[in-house]
Amino acid sequence: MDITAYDAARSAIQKTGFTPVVQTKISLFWGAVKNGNAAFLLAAQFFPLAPLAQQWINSQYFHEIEASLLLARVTRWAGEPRLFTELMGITSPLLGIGTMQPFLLPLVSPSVIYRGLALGHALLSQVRLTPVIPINTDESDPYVAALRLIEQGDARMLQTQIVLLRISSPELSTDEKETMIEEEQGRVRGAFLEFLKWLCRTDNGQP
Amino acid sequence: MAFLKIGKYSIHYEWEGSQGEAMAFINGLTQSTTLWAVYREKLVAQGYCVLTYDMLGQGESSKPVLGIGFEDHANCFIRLLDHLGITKCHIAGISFGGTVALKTAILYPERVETLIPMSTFAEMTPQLEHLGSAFYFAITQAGFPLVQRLLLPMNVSSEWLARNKDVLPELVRRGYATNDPYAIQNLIESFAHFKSFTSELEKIICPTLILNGEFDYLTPRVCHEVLRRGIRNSRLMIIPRGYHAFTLENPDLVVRVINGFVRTVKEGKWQGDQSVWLASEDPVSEVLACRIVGDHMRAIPIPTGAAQEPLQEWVVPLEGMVLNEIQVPFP
Repeated sequence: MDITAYDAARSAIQKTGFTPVVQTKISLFWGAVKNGNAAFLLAAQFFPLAPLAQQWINSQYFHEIEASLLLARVTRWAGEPRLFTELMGITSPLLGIGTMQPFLLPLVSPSVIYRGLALGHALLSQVRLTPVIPINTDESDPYVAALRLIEQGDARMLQTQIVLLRISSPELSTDEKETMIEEEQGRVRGAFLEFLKWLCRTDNGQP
Repeated sequence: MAFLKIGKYSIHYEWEGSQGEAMAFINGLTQSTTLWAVYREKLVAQGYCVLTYDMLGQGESSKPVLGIGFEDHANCFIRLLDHLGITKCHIAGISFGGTVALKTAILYPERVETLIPMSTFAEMTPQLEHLGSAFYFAITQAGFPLVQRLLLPMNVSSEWLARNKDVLPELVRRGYATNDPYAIQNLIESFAHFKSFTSELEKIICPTLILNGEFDYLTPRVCHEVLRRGIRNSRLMIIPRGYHAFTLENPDLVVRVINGFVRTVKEGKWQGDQSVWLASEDPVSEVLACRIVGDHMRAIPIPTGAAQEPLQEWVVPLEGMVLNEIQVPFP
């Protein structure tokens, strides 16, 4: 990930601290990411998969729900509806209805399942928030602690994701798989960079 | 920032210097080209063209999610040399990059002018195997920050850590932000199927200077001894007070040693006699190194052969104790 984007977001947070607006932005974005992945995992539980893979997907689903709830619980929410609408512009390339719909169809092709897993992997690996935490932040702050805890959990889930990507959809060639993975990585990276820019904007919405 | 496209992957590299012999550096596991900036600057000033690059899975290069085979790294490196029109070059590699450098010299001996494997190995000792699995466990169970925390004190000295304590949090943060943990995990995993290539070391024919930090706990002396014994045209040089990442801690000394070695070879004075040397601590000394006469495999200075002076002994009488009555509590 581009370090300058992280640096800019961190500088912005350094100036104001984790204000309700900053927390709301982070929690809305990360919440959307977690819920989006959870929606796919929920649908994936009905796919014909090996029992072990089924168990992993089940466990990941609950992890995502847990992460989303944890963050929501410790967030000091800002009552500013504009943040919700701004968020939609950032997450729509990732989690818009048109983007997610194919994953939720009852009759799916191997490539749809695989793309969903690839998106999940990209979300877990690219969306990492702890580098925006200023160096001297109070680590015992519940919000900061939650960010670290969720990211640590994501790192554990990545291991499962990599294995799933290797073993799933054997009917697809390695080339096809890698292309899908690359595309999803690029899509998530783009949205995450937009999110980091959003974090840099001050409370009145001006860059 | 330059890139080479190999199939769908892109390799990020830096190629500096307008004339002179080519020298390439291959990164350790969590390194990137930026860490060689000082080497590029110093060696270009001394008349070399310097190539540094990010392996697949590192820095700005592509990071294949489905993993990459260990031998693919050597093949990628050769493709990069081809791309730059380098027919032969001096190759230095550290740690993970050291194994890639060694493998390159085995697979493509005609492309290697001289070889400088640093803090590296050709086979997994049981210690190394356990360390590898511990790092794998750490990255999969607790994430990359734990791997960073474990590696840092193994890589550098207490003095360096104390000197840099104010910038360490930022250094760790940048390392975390710019590395993709899944890609590092894949690199660690590529060692899961690592096969010893000790028996192939005899295929390395170019002059080889093996560098090992005096206090390298990660890849200790025994790893380098395997290389010294296996590579006929070699010498082992110990970097005084060096830890695993001595290239980071003491670039002036390492540049001096590498340049001194290459010049010795170019002047036709090189003797690949598998001898063991201790580098001078002073990077501006004309004495590059002194030959070690003690047992270089020990951490304590045990004299071998005829001692120059009689050893001073500290004697404590046994006072009635009979030797065969001393019991070892745990066998």
